[in-house]
Amino acid sequence: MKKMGKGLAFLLAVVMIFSFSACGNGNDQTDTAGTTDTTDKTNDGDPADAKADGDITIAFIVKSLENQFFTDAKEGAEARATELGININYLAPSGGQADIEGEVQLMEDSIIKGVDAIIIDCSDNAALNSSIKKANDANIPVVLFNDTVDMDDLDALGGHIDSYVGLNSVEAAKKVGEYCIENSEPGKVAIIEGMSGVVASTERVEGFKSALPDGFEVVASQPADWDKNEAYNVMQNILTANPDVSIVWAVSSTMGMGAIQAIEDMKMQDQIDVYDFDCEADDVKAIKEGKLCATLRYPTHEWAALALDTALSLAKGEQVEDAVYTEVQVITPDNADTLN
Amino acid sequence: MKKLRFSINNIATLVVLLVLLLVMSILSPVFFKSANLINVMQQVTVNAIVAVGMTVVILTGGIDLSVGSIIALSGMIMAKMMVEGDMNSVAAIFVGILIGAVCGLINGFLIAKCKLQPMIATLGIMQVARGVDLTIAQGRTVSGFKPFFRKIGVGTIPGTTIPVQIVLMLVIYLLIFYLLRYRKFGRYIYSIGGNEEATRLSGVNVERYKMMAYVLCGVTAAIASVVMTAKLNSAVPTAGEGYELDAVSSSVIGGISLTGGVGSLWGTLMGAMIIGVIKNGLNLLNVSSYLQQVVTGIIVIVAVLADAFKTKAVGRKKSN
Repeated sequence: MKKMGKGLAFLLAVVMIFSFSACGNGNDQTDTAGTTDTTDKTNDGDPADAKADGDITIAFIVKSLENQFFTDAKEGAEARATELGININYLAPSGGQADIEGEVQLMEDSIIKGVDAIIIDCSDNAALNSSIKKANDANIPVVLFNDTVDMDDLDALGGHIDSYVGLNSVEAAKKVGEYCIENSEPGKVAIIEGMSGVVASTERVEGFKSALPDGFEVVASQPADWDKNEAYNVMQNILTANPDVSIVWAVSSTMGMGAIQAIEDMKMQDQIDVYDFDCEADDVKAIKEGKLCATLRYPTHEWAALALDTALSLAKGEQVEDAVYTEVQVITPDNADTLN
Repeated sequence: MKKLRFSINNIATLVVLLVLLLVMSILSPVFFKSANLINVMQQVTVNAIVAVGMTVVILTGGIDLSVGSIIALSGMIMAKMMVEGDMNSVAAIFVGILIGAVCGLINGFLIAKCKLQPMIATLGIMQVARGVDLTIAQGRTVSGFKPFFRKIGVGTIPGTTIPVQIVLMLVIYLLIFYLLRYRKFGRYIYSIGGNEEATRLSGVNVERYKMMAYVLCGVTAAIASVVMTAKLNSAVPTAGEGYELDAVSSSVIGGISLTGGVGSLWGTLMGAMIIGVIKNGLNLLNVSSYLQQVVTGIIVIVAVLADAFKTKAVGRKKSN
C-alpha cells in the first residue's frame, strides 16, 4: 500500500507540473493535487514568491547576435546569472535585426513557458507591444534593454513596462562631442549617420552636434546604413566634395572603421580626426594605433548584468526604478591602455 | 563577327545613364573629375559583380535572395582561413569561392530538383548562411590580411590610377556576356527563361542548366566578397545585408525582365552604374538622408514602370 501511495503522489505531482506549464498565466488555481507534498512550486498569483533562486528563469531576448554588443551582453548576463544562481535563456531571432516576427515569437514562447521575468531589446518600437501586453497579463515583469518602444502605442493597448535599463545615447554622444572640441582644432565636420530614421542613429548625431560651438561647422551628414562598405563609399564621396573636412563623427564602430579605411586610402589621415561610437575591439586597436581619436564605451557586460539584477528584483516582487541608465565612458588614447 | 545588337531596352537605359551623368556634372563641380569618376566605378564594382550572377538567375525566371549572406559567409570563412588558419591568400580566395559555389549548388538543387519556388528556397538559404556566418564570427570582425590580398582591393594597374578591381569587374562581364551570347549555355539560359517547358521538350537538361545558373550566382557573390573584404581590410559579420536588393534593382533597371528570358548583361552594368551614380551624387550634394529614401524609392518605381512600358511597346511592335 505504501508503494502505491508513493506512485500515486508522483503521478499527481506530474499532473500538477503539466497543468502549470499549460496555463502560463499564474492565476489563482484551485488544484486537485493540493494535498501532495512532493512539489515545491506554489500555485498562487505570484510565481516567484516562494521559489528558491535556483528555480527562477529569466528570458533575455535580444534582437540579433550580429555584433559584439550582443555577444558581450550574452557573456555579461550569463556570468551574472551563474553568480546569482538563477537560470537564464538568452535568445535572439534567427533572422537577425530584420526578423521582427522571430523576436515576437521568442517573446510569446517565453510567456507560454511561464518565465519569471522578460528582458527584451526590441527590434521595432511598436511590433513587440502586443506581446508586452500579453506578458503584463501573465504577470511576467518586462524590462526593456537598450531600445525603447513607442509608449503611447503601448498605453493605448493597455500595456506597460516595468523598467528600462538603457543608454542615454544623446548624453553619451554629447560626451564625445565635448572631448572632440577639447582635442581638435575648430574646422569642418562630416557626420556618417546610421540608418535614416532610426532613433539610435538620430540621437547619436544630435547629441554630438549639441556639443559643437561655432567654429565647428557641419558640412556633410550622410547615412551609411550601419554598413562598413557603405561607410567607406560615403566617406570617399564626402571627402571628394569637401576636401577640407578635418573632423569625422561616425555613429557606430563598423562605420567608423569603414571611414578610417577610406581616409587612409585617400592619404588624408594626417588632416582628419575621427570619432566614433561603440568601443568594439577594433576601436581600441585603432585608438592605440593613432587612427581613431576617441570612442564611446558603454560597459556592455555590466549593463547586461544590471538588466538581470533589475529583472530579478521584479521577479521577486521588489520595487525598482522606472529607468536605469548605464555608465558610459569616453575612451581616448589616455585611457585606452586600461582596456585590453 | 556578329553585330552588336542594341535593343530598345539598352538604348533607354543608356539614355537615362547619360542624362544622369549630365545632371550630376551640372549640380556638382567635382562630379566629373577623374578621381571621382574612378571612385564611382570602384563603388559600383561590388554590386556590379553580384549583379552578374543575379542577372543569369533572373534570366532563367528565378531569383536569388541569398547573395548577401553568401557574401558574408564566404568572406568570413576566407578571412578566418588567412588570419587564424595561416593559409596563403590564393588558397583562401579559392576556399571562399568554393563556399559560394556550394551555397549556389544547394540553391540550385532546391530549386531545380526539389522544385521549390526560387524566392522561398533562396530566402531560406539566406537565413541559414547568415546564421552560420554569425556563429563562426561570434560577433567579431576579422582583420590582418597579407599585403598581396589587400592589393586586390586597392591595387592599380601599373602606370595608371585605374583600380585592379574595376578591371576584374569588366573581365567578368566580358566573360559572362560571351557565355550568354555565343555559347550553348547562354542560349539555353535564355530559352529556359522564355519557355521552360518548350525547352525541356526540346531535349535540354533544364535542371542542370538551372543549377549552373545558381552556382554561378554563388560564385559571383563570393568574388564580390573577395573584392570587398580586400578593400575594407576586414571581414565583418554583418557584411552584405540588403545587397540582394541592389543586385536585383540593377538588373531590372538594366532591362532584365523578372519573368525571365529577356535582357542583356550590359543593361545590368548600366543599371548598376545608374544606382552608383545616384548614390555618389546624393553624397556629393549632401542631400538629406530622409530625401534619399524618397529618391531611391522613386528610382525603383520608375524602373519597374519603364520595364512594363517596354514590354508593352515591344508587344505592340511585334503585332504590327
